[in-house]
Amino acid sequence: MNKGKNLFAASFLAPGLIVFIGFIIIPIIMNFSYSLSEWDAIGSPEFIGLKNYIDIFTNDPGYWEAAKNNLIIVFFAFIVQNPVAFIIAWLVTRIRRFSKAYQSVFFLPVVISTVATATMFYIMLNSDVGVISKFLAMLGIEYAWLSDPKVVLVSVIAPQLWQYLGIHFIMFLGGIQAIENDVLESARIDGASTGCLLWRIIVPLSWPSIQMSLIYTFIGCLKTFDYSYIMTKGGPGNASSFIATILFKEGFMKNHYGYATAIAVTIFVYSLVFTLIFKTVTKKMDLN
Amino acid sequence: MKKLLASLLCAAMVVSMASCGSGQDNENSNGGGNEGGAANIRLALQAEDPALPLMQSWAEENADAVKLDIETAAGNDLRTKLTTDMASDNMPDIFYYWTRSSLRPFIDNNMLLDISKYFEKSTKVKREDFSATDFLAVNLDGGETAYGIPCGGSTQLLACNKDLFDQYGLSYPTTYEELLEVGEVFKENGIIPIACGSAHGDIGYFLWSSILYQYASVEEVNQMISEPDAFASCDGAIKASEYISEMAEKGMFPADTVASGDFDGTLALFNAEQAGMLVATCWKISGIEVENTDFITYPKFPGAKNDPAAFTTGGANNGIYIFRESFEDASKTDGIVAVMDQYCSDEVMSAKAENLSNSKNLPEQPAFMSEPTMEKFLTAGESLDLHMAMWALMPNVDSREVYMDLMDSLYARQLTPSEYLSQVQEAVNEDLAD
Repeated sequence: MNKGKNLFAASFLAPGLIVFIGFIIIPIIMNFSYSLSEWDAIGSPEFIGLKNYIDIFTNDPGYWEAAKNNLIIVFFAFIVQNPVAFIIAWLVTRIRRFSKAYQSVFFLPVVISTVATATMFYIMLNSDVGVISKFLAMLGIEYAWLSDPKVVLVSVIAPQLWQYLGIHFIMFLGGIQAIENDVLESARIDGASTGCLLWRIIVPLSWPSIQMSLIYTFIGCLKTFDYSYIMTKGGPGNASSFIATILFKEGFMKNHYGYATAIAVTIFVYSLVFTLIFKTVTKKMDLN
Repeated sequence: MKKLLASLLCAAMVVSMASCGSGQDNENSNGGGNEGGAANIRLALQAEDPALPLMQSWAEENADAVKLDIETAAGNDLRTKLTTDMASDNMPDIFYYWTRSSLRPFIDNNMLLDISKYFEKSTKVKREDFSATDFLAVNLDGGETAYGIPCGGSTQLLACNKDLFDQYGLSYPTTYEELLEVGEVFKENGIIPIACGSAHGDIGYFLWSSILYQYASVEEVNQMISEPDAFASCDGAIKASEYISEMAEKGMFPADTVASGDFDGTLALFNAEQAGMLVATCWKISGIEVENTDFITYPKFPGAKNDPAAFTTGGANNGIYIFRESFEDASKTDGIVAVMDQYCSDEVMSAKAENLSNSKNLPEQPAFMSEPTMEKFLTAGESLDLHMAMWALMPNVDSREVYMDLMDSLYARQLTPSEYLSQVQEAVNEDLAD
């Protein structure tokens, strides 16, 4: 009987497992192998050991400039995007009327194509003709938003933090709504202020969703590419490049596929290390 | 019963997933194959290629003889698509691509057909039908072997909005000093003097190249990209970088040289009459909507050794190429010849002449070449010598990408001219050492 059940379960798991292994696991393994080679996409890859990694860490200032930009976007995503998304989610749970409408409004940017959104901001931030840049110029804030190295990173980061705020909003909303009402009612009866309720009860009890959101944020910020490439091609120079932009340029513009896959491996390693460390360090914060 | 139903559903899922994959394999494979006698030929073109509708209708009419799959990508994305195809061992049989240094990886790996073999097979198209000069772009290092058929290229002049010049009582500049004076008047009146910037090098490298050749001969330019440390020490390169930087400093370009600096951005500014002048490349002429547009050669820069009124820069930027392995596949040879014959026909090449992406000597001038703006452009450029723009001359892809990427920083004043030149020189030296 058990054997039959197991076989039955396996037959349903098999297609998904085959897809997962074929499209995720095997390419990751192949990626590791290509990262140890020099390959221009023609002919066979030539094994060169760790040379690509040595070059990345010792001989590629563009990579480190891009990595710094990744850290900057992670920083702003952590201290601006996530808190704002959390507060909005909390406020939406306190609204009785039209809360569904608010949820739709805040989530709407997420479903718009990234290419369309990036192109829209590319046009709006153009300091020669763009409506946002003209408006800011009227307020005395005048920059070449997509050419000035001092501000181009802001131009590329802000729209994507805005677009993806909705994903974190939904995650936090789910976490907050999962808190039992009795707990909140008890706290209110005991005299807890709104701030106390938020900080001492809601945040700790929705920690799993916060944790997931922060991990998702970090990985997403490491992989970010679209806005940088569409709005500025990572320029001028590497002023608005991220690691994924460098990866794209090395692979698809310079035909350095081995080097590009080594860069991809570094993204994977950073994501994995952060996830492991973060979950370990914050384990005790999960009151559930 | 439930278990049986569930098992059937599971099996159906597996079968449908398997058949999803097999359908795509047949379309993308370049490993030969006929469907009922018709050769499967894959042709990759730019989405904006004027030849596209004609090739599509030809494909429909000749479906019995050739099953032609046309794959497209917009502009420079075609390069990315073909790089991906190359990496996945899935090259199209015939493809539109760029020239000179862009061909090096293909040529070094023996992927391109010596085009003389196509000419030997074809009864309709001959090498003599095309511009001999343009054929220099489809080989490397001045070698005799041509690896494709050139498809016109870029020539460029400075387009001037006559109405704006008349409105402010200005004459077309013939010297750098006059250019700056014109620029001052335009700036005072909220007009961008020159619609030119740099988004991954486009279109800024045209202006850079035009200044380069005022100070360097063709031989000196060839030397600077073939000898170590010659790029940054070439007087033409130094002057070009310095004057670009100076003009950017003086506000001669759009404020946002990256966002407004590429082909479409600059054309939009010019058409909106927000710019007085435009670095006008030939394939954008048909997009100029300003009725009273005149075309002039570049002003002479201080101390220039070569008269800019005698030359323009550009050259055959693109060509149509045949994947060697496909041509040597007996089941595909005739199909490839048929498709190439059609692409190189007078009808298709006349259509391509719309954006001057045609190198064929046509029996009749296409009608749109008599349109006023196009006619002015052709007249202004007809007796000029043509020098290759730097983009196409760089020794290999790596140094070319560095040259183009850092051009953005030069226009955006993020790099000084000497910093720009030294970084490009480093990349050139690395390519020459390989």
